[in-house]
Amino acid sequence: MASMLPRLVLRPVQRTAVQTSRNSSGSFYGQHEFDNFKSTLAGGLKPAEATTNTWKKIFFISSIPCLLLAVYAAKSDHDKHHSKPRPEFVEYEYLNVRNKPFPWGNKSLFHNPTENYVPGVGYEKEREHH
Amino acid sequence: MFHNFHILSLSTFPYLVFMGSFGLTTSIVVFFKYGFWYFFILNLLILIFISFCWSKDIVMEGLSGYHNFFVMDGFKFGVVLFIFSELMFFFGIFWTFFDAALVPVHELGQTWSPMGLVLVNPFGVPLLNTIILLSSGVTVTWAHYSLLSNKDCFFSMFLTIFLAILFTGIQGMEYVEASFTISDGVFGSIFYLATGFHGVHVLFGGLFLFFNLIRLLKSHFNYNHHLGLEFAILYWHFVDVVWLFLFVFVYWWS
Repeated sequence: MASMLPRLVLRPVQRTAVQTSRNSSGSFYGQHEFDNFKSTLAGGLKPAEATTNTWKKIFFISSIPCLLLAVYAAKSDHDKHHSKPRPEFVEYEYLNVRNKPFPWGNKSLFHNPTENYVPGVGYEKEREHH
Repeated sequence: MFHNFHILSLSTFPYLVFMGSFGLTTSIVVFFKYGFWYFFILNLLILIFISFCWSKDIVMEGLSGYHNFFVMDGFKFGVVLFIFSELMFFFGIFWTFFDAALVPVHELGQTWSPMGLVLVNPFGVPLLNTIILLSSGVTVTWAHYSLLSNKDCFFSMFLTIFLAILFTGIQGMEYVEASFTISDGVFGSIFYLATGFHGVHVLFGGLFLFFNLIRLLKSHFNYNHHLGLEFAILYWHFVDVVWLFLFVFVYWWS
């Protein structure tokens, strides 16, 4: 009687890798898909679960530590740059080009008063020191 | 006679999108010339509304069963063409970058990066952004495979979207903290053009993923049929690859 139960684990059919995709979508549902309806429908579930666990492990074991290292690198780089004084600004002619005024005034869209130099005025605000 | 194609019902949405895009470009020109930005915002909102309406139509057609495998293949081909067109767009931008950078002009001091510009250290915040995007690629692959194995993928999708928001926020902060602007010579221009368009694409990709999350919560997907999610994932991988090129050539090599 037990042998009449359907096999719960399906082996791949005549392929090197199990897929849920079809042989072809052509004009009609293909003969291969018709003959092997169950395997094309459910054959990819178990391998997909294994792959899911693989990627989950990749995320928790390698991605998160890499993220933390990168956060540390970015923080230390930011602190290093802010511990030095601002570099002397040399007014090259190709910097702060204004061939046509911005529609909203003279400053650029992301103008930073402490970091961006305004010609004729200089840096508008000093850096705050923590 | 019997055929596999999905014959669509008549709809004005393509025409409305055309009118909206025309208005968008015109209103941008009006803004640049006269500083009047209200038309642009109005037009943007109209276009967003129309795209919601059109997408709703497509979703309802899918849920009504019109999307057989044959139609799904057509969708996949269409999206591949769309992403190819986006690739060509960035190809043009990168061409400009290399044209300016490989033979620096005499006025810039004949070095790249131009003198007088203090560049962002690529191994500070940009490296963090790279790791964020790569991690989001990992989480989105995790989400896709868990959906393929008929399991719930809410947490992985949520992580992906969270990382996308993190990337956008950090890039915004970088824009504010940078020492050079878009008007600082050809370097500033191409830098902000490339990273700006990339940022818009990240925003779009993140929103696309977010709307797919909503559809997931409403049980629109099953393990065999989740094209919207597959397209969002493909678009997200594309955005990631473009960032890698940006990081290597615009941030690091400069």
